[in-house]
Amino acid sequence: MANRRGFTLAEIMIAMTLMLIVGGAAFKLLVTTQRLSRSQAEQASLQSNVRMGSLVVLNDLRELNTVVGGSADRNDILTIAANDITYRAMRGIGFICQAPTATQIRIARGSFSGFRDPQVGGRDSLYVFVDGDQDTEADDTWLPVAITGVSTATACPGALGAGITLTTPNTAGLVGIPVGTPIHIYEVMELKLHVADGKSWLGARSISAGEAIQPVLGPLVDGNGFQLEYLNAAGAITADRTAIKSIRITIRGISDGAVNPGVEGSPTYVQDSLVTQVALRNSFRP
Amino acid sequence: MRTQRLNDERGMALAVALFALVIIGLLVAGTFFSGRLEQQSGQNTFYAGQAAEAAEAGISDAIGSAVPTTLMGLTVGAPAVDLGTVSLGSRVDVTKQLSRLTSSVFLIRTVGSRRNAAGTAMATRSAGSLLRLVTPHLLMRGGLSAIGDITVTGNATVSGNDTTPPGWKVSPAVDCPPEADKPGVAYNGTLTQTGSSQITGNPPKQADPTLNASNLMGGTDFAALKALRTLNLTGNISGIGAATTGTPPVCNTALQNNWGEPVDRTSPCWNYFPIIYHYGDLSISGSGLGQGILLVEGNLSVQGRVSFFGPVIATGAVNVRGTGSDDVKFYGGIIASDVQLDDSRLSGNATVLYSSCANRRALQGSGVITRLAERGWVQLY
Repeated sequence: MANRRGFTLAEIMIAMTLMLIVGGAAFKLLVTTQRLSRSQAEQASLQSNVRMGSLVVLNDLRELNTVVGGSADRNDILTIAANDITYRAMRGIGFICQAPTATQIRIARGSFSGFRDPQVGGRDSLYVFVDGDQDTEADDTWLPVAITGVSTATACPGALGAGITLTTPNTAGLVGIPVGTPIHIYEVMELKLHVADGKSWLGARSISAGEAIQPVLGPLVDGNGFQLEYLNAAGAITADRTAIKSIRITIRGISDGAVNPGVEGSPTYVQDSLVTQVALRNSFRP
Repeated sequence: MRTQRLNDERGMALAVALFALVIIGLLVAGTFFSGRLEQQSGQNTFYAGQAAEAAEAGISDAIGSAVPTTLMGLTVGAPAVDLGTVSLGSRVDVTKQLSRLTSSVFLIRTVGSRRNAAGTAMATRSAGSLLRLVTPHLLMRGGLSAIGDITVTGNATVSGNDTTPPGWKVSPAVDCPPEADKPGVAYNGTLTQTGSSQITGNPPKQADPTLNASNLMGGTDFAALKALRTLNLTGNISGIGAATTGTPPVCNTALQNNWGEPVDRTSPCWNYFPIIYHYGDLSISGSGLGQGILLVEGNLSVQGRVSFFGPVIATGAVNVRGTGSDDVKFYGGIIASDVQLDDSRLSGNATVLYSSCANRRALQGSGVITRLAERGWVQLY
C-alpha cells in the first residue's frame, strides 16, 4: 500500500464542485427536455382535438337543407343558439327497389350508402322524394315518414339482391312512388357546449332517440369553446334559421392539465382554436 | 517515469452520463415521434380535404358536361355509366358515374382521390348529387296552329301527318316511336288556300273557334318557355349553321347563328338544342340548318334556304317564303299565337311538316339538367 496515494482535500473539493456543475447542468437539461416533451405532447393533443372537432361538426352540418321562409319539413335546422344547434342529421341514402305500399318501403341493400344502417326506436325517420309533374321541378317535394320497423332479412325483386325493408305508419302518399326513387334516412341531433365534471366539452345527443347529452370531444374553453355563427346568402349573421346558407364554427380547445411552456415560466393551461366555415350544400337556391 | 494504471479505481461517472444520455435520448425521441405523428395526422387531414374537394368538383364537372339527350338515353335502373376519370393535378383525381334512377331523376356519384407518387390512393372521399331534367312542356296541335287567319299559297306544303325527318331513319335510326297524325292546319279565323299549295293531315284543316292563347300550346304559355331560353338573339339572322371550337372540337354555343346540327350525327353540335329567343320582329335569311325551339316575341319572317327541326312559336305573324329554288322547311310545326296575331302566310317552296320526333328531340334536348332543388347533394360512404 506504500505506493498508493490518496486525494488531497483540495482535489476532492474541486472534483465535487465540477461534479455538481456538470450534474446540475445535466439535470437542468433533463428537466427542460421533459417539460418540452410534455408541453409538445399536450399541444399536439390539443390541436388534434380542435381539428377533429371542426371536422366532426362540419361533416354533420354540411348536408343540411334550408329554404328561405319554407315550411318545417323543408328546413333541417330546428333551433339555433350561439353554442347550441339542433338539426336533422342525414344518415344515409337509398333507392326504392320495389313498389312501396302505404306501410312499407323496400330499398336495395347494395344501393344504400350510409353512416350506418337505418334504426328503429324513434331514432331514424326518412324522407321520400315525390316527383309530381316530371317535366318540372316546381312541384318536387320530400315526404317525411316515420320508421317503425327495419328488417334486413328481405330481398328486392329480380337481380337487385338483398333489401332493407322499412315499415312505416300508414302513409297514403307512398303508394305510386316509382321504383328507383331516392330516400334519405335522418335523425334529429343536438350539438352544444356541454359542461361535465367541471370542464366544458363538445356534447352531442340524438334527440329523436331520447338520448342524454354526452361529451364527445374536449376539453374546451369554458363559455365559448364551441361557438356557431349563422350566415345568410349575403354573408351576414342571421337569426332566421330558414335563411342560413353557411355556418361559421369556432372550436377553442384547452389543455387537459397545466403544462410548463418551456425553460422558464410557471405551469399554465394552453389554448388553441380553429375557425371553419361550412356552406350548406343543400341551401344553394335563393 | 512509468504511468501507473488505476485498475482498482472505482467510479460511476460514465454510468451516470450514459444513463442521462439514454433518458434525454428517449425524451427527444418521444418528442420527435409525437411531432411526426402530429405532422402525419395533419397531412392525412389535408389529403382527405383534397379528396373531398375533388369529389365535389367532379359533381360540378359532371353536371356541366352532361347532355340532356345522353341522360334521356340511359335506361332506368341499369348499372351506372362510367363518365371517366378527370385529373385535377397535384396527384388528385376524380372518377364519375351516372345512373338513371327514375324516368326523371338521375344520380351522379363521384370518388375523389389523393394519390402518392406511386399512384396509391392516400385518401378517398365520395359525394353524390341527385339531378333532374327540366324539360319544356309543349303540345303541338298540328303542322300549323294559329289564332287568326291563315293563307297558304304558291307551292307551299303544310302537313299534320307525323313525319320523321329524312336521314333519321338511317341505321342506327333515331328513336322515333310514331304518334298519331294531327291536323295540317288548326285555326280559329279564316283559311285561304291558293295556287299549287297542299294541306294534308288528319284532318287536313281544322277550324277551331275555341282556340285561344291559353290553350294553344297545351297547358303551357309563351312566358314559361321564354324563361327557359338559352340563346338570346340580338338581331336578325343571315344564315345559320353548326360551328365548333377548340381541339378536340366542341360545339361553339356562344355563336348567335349556331342552332345545332340536325343532320350530321358526328358533329359535336348534334346534341345541341338551344331554346332560341328574340324580342321583337325577327328576320331569318340565307341558308343553313338548325334545331331546338325558336321563340319570337313579335313577327317572324323566314326566306332563303333554311331548314329548322323543332317547334317554332311566334306571338305575332309568321311569314315564310321559299322563293325560286330555295326551300324553307320546318320539321316540327309552327304555332303563331297571341291576341296580337295578324296572320300566317306560306308561299313559294315553303314546307311545314308536323314531326313528333323532331319535337320530342328538341324538347328533351333543350331540357336543363339541374340538381334537385332540395336535398340534392348527398354524402356517400
